[in-house]
Amino acid sequence: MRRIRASASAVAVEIGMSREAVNNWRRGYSLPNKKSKDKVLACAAYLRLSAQEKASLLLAAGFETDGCSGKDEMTSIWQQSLIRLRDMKPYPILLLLSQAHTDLKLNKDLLVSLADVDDTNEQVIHLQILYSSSATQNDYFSYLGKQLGLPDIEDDLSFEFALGDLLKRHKLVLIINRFEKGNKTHSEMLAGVLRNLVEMHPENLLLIISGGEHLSSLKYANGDHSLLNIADNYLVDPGIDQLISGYSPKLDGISEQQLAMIEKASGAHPGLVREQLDYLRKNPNASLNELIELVLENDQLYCDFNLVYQHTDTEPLARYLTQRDLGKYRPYLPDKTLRKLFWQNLIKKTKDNHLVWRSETIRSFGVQFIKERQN
Amino acid sequence: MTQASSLRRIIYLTLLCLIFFPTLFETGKYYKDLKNRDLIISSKTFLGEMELVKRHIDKYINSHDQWPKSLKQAGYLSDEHYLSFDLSNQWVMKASIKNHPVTDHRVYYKHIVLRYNPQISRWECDFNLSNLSDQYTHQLCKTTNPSSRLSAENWNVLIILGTLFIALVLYLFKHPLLEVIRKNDGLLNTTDFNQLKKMKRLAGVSRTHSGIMQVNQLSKQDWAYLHQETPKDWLRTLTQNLPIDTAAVRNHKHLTFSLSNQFELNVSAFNVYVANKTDTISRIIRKVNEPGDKYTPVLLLVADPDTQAETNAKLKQFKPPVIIPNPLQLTQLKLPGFSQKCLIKLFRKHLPLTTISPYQGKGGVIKPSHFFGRQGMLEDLVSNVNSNFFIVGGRQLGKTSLLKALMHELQNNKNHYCQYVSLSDERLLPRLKYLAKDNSVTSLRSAILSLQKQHPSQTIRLLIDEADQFIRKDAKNGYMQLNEIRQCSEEGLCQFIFAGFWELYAHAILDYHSPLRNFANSIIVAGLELDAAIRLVIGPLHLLGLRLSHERLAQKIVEKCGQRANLINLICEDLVKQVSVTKKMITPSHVDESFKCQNVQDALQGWSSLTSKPEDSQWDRVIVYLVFIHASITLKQIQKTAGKHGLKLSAEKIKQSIQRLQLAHILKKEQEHHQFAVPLFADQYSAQEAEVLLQQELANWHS
Repeated sequence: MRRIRASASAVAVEIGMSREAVNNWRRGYSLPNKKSKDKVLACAAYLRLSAQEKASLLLAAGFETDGCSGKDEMTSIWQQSLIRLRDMKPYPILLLLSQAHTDLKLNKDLLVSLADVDDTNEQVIHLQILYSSSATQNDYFSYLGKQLGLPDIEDDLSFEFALGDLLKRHKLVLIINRFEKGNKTHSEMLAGVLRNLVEMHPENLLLIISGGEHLSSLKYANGDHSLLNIADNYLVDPGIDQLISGYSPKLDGISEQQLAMIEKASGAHPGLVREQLDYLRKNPNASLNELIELVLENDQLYCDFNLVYQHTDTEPLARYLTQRDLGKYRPYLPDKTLRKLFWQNLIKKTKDNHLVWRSETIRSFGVQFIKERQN
Repeated sequence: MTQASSLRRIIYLTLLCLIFFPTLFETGKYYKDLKNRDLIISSKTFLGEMELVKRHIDKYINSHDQWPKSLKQAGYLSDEHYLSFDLSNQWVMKASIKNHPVTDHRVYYKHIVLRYNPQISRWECDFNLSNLSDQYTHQLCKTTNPSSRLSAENWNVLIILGTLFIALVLYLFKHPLLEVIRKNDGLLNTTDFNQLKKMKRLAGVSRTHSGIMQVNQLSKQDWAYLHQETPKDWLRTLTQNLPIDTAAVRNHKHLTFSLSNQFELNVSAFNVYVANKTDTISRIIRKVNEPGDKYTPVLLLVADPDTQAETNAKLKQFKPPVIIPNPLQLTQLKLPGFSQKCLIKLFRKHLPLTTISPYQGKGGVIKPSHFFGRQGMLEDLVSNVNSNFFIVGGRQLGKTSLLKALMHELQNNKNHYCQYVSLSDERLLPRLKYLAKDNSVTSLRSAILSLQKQHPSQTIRLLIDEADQFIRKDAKNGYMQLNEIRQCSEEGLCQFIFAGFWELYAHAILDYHSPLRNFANSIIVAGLELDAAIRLVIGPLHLLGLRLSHERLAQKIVEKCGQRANLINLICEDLVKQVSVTKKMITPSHVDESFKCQNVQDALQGWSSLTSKPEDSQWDRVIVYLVFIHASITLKQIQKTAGKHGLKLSAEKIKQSIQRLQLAHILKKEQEHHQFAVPLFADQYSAQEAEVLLQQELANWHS
């Protein structure tokens, strides 16, 4: 509180408690009751606490940190996305792009926390898409219609008209995860429907479409989805702090030095970070070399390189593996090898918009991989 | 209220007072005299006795040429009733007032002393010895000029009245409140809201209110409620003065307003809370924080200076963004000529510039105030009701914006009914059926007839956006729908305006057998006109209170963007983002930074697949890579390079590719050379990178 010069009354107003209650917590006279965990989390957010500080606060307040902080980090990604979305005018459409293994989980609790409780006219809906490519047009759109409470949906047109009528009365925030999955024709139809509706009801339809490589290709390579053309992009790349808070059951057990080791070895690759945390919990005194060894033996990494290898040419892959700076980052990478490496989360974008390997260990893994393949 | 009219009023009033004051003075004097009436009557009695004595003495001096020693000697034989006379001093007559019941006690024992001047045979008063006041004394002893009717006392009264009059005139005409307004050419925008009531009273008394009302465009009703601060009155005033779509009273003191597209900033709604003197600060905070939209700004109208200061100190406790206008701004919000400007100023001061910036780099421009240039095209579209149009251009070049500007232009025109349809596929008929809300519609013709029936005596104008898929599919089906459309148009049932890109262009212009040929006038949408592009950079920046450090920066932005409106918007949007906190001047380094920003880089993508045919897109990419390598290239060079790489030449395909790239505003032709239309586009890849990409493209081609 002192750091951000916040008063007890300011905190109280922010989290919706009385000043006395906050002062009592502060002085240790009382603890928040079991139902007030959200208040403590709101308090942590207001005080701009780091992941570790927040965990300490939760523990001090008598709450478990397991899982909840991870959920909270995810909430913060979605909440930030919603804040961006609400600021986007006149067409609030956000593409939330993420590389492989970065799972943007969206469960019911999270969805509830995203809703603007003060705006009774706004609904946040997670619109799930039928992934089955064999689903008929009727199945696809009536499934969407059911989630929105729209009766008698037979096809994209009846969905468009019914949703249009709904938007005349309500403000909808539609979150569509993995938009590019499922039947391509149907997703194109859905994109068309949403584009028409956004054009007709720009104030009342807010869209977040999340996905990865395919979604990015739909926007940049194909370019004929005008819905995606007018959307804003947000590339989600969680840092090591976010990943740690998401996966670690006992945050206070990991030192700053260990964090640095994990980052060095894994390059904040979400899949590798999880594995390293597990290893560190079992072997608290593990060295950096051990963690590097762990990366070099990672099966997932092998699969990822193999996928790149299969879909691109050996020569450019081998060449890139000899470089540390892989050139300028562009929203759409025309070089398919780089594109594949990027979306498989083997390379990352730096702050100055350059592409580099996630970590030197991952590059070494690749070098080893390509050598084996060439032999 | 001008200085001349004010002077005229002063002159009129002065003249009026010159006529009025003497009468007033005389009346006052009369009443004062009335009070001393008894005294005056008694003075006349004793003065009569004195005058009688004086005449006897005169007679005596005339006949004897000497001063009588007594009254008897002078021949006055009567009693001395009211006065006792003393003639003992030669040539001096001293009359003392006796204690007599007829005379007023206030003059008992007072003296009147007259001296006779034998040389000139005239009586004179001895002022030193006479002690009776002017009002009751002998004519000769009156100290004031007999011709003057005013005594010193009366002069004092007159001076006081005059001073009061001048003070009144100054109060009315030179009152600081009115003086400020007069100096401001009668405008009220510099008047404190808390002084409006007083100002109105002053203006009413000085009869200057009609001038003030006229200058400030205030009606009688506006004037009557000018100083009022009730929620109902604010609702009326703001609805009247601002471009408001809907206004409502949420509860007693809470008002909600949704702004129309006419409002220049990117703010669609705001709430108002009207606080009065009885509201405590905690009540205000509680009421403003009551459940509701916490993203919509709240205009907190507090007229009381103390409450305002207190509220300003507790801004952090409000959940929604709260804006508290100062007393001058409260007045401005009441004035039709200042209300909108004031609201813009308040928004830009209290809200993040990034959220209110009118720049819109994606999608069709909705706000008419943000539609720049293309006036010739718009006039063509508005005036040529009998012609159909094809609006052709690449993605994000402004086709939808043009359609929306046309919609806006015609929305208040009773002779036209404009219907915008965004087509994501080939199905026009079901969409028209839905819009017509008519289930009996079975064909395009019946849909149009239904619309006509619903809007009689209006020309139906259908604006069909994203028409490429519709055209492509209909071409495959032998132009069935387009033939119907052509027929409807020829019968004068409807005007059609299609907007699209390559498919529309190819079928309407390149395909000789298409029924679309000669069906409509073509409008090619490319970059903005230079002056409009510069206005697009500067206008909204000024609106946000931002400035460019050098005028040529606007030119630089426009040139770098190849006059593309969407890129200019995105760059300016980023510039606003960069300086939104510091609100500093925009410098060349800011501009260079914006050229590299994510959104601009995003907008430069999406060219690799301009057509639905992969082979055609491949040609496009090869040509673009060649331009990256050579900066500028001729048709011959393209053919030569293609041949060198073993590609089969198809002059027609290359020509079409170039046409497509030109239409997409990626390439432009200068003499025989093709180069990038947008210099920013050229910065995307170095020649070496492009060479690698070209090789990959050619390798794919061969494989």
